[in-house]
Amino acid sequence: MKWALLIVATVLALTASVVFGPAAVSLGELLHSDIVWNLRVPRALLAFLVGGLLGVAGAGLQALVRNPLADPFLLGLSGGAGLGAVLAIALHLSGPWALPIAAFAGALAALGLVYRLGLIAGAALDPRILLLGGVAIGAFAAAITTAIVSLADAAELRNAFLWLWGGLSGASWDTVLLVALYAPIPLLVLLAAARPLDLLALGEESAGYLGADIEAVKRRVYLAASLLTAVAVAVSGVIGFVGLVVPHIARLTWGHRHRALLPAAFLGGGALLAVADTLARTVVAPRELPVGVVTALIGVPVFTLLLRRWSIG
Amino acid sequence: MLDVPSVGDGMPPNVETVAARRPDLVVLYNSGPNVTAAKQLERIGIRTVLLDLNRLEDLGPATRMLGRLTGRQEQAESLASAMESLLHQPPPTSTPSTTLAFVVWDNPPIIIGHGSYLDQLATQAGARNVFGDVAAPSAQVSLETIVARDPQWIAVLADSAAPPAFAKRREWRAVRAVRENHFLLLPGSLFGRPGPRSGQAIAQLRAMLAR
Repeated sequence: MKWALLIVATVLALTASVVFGPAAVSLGELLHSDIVWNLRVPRALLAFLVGGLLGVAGAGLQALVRNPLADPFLLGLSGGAGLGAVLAIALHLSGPWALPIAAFAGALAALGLVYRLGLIAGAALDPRILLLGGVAIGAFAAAITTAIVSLADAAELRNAFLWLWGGLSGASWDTVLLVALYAPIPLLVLLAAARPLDLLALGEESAGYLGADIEAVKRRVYLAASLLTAVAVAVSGVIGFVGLVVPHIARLTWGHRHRALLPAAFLGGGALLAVADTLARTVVAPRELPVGVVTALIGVPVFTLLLRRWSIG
Repeated sequence: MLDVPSVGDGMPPNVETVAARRPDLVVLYNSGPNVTAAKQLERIGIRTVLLDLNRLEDLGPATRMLGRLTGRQEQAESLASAMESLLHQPPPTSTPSTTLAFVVWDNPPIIIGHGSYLDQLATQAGARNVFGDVAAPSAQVSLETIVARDPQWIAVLADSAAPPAFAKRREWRAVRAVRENHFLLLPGSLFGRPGPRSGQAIAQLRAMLAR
């Protein structure tokens, strides 16, 4: 029943994001319209994919660091991506893909640094150091970014922040194809770690006794979740709340089993971002709202309602 | 202009560097960070004025004010009336057939609305800004709105002769003017702000549209 509802909600969300938009396209023309095929459909699919990836990455990271506040962007990736994007503009790297590639490279650099920091204590990856290292690297990258933006006088640099705050305006069949080809491997790695992630909730030691190769699992989960986040930030900037709120909503409904939780977080995150983007495009048309604002405006009330129910029940 | 020393960013300037030079008059653009800088300069006895320069109708009053402050009222009056005549000139056609959209950023797409002097420049050059119904000076819009409004030209502020990088992006190819490479590349020095050369900007835009 829960699954049926989630699948229906996902289909409805995707349908709505294709049917509704700021430009008037009648239902009869829907299948032949250039606007629908080249802009709305890829944008709806990209919203769904990015939302799904953020939901899964958030669920994986929350289990890995055993901290309910973990968010795909908490571990320094947004800071790294921002620095990459601003550097691309400051160094006048041109080309249609310069910004996403630079942001992706920045996110990967942050990922590598945080991972290295997490291993500093020895061969074991310490989740607490990952968290602290992530926050520190993120803050450091953000400080360098702000320094570059405030010293350079190019108005373009200020616009880099607009790009970074997230949005799906860059959606095209190219970006959809890119994400669809890139994401399956990290997603499968996370799904394959579902059972050890369940055990990890019992504590590292107990999980080890129960036969999980804890160190390998932690590394795989960290790298896979971060790689998903890095591609999300490269194609759509930093979209907040999806990766934080959706895993919690999924956990409140599906419980702590990751074999169910991860797919639910994927579908839920995808549906939420598709709906949020549809609202962002249509509510104040012809203007558009930043999608991150809408995800917070929808996600937070739903989350607080569930939290109340949860704490009362 | 080459030997004018830098006193920091325009918004706001470095107040200490400005004060150290003991100028008779400081002229600043009226905006948040500059309001604070103006107060600080006034407090140490340096005369400071904040100019509103957002639309073409601001040019006349600003010129007269600068004329009064520098004791060149006559010249200022002549310049101010020349600039006011820009606005009172009827546009070349009462129902412009040429349409354009000013794109100031591509991801997310940010366009110029009715509140900007650029919208006025377009009207005076005989073109219609397809986002003239947006009251704000600039706003974020969806790409599909640009496609649906189908401007004949995409105007961008650019100092190079090459079309903007977004012209090569697949999603932007949905815009007809982008596919047809109908870009108006407006030099920033002339179109970047309203000023004494706005008349020249109108003439140049008109010439570009006539090509």
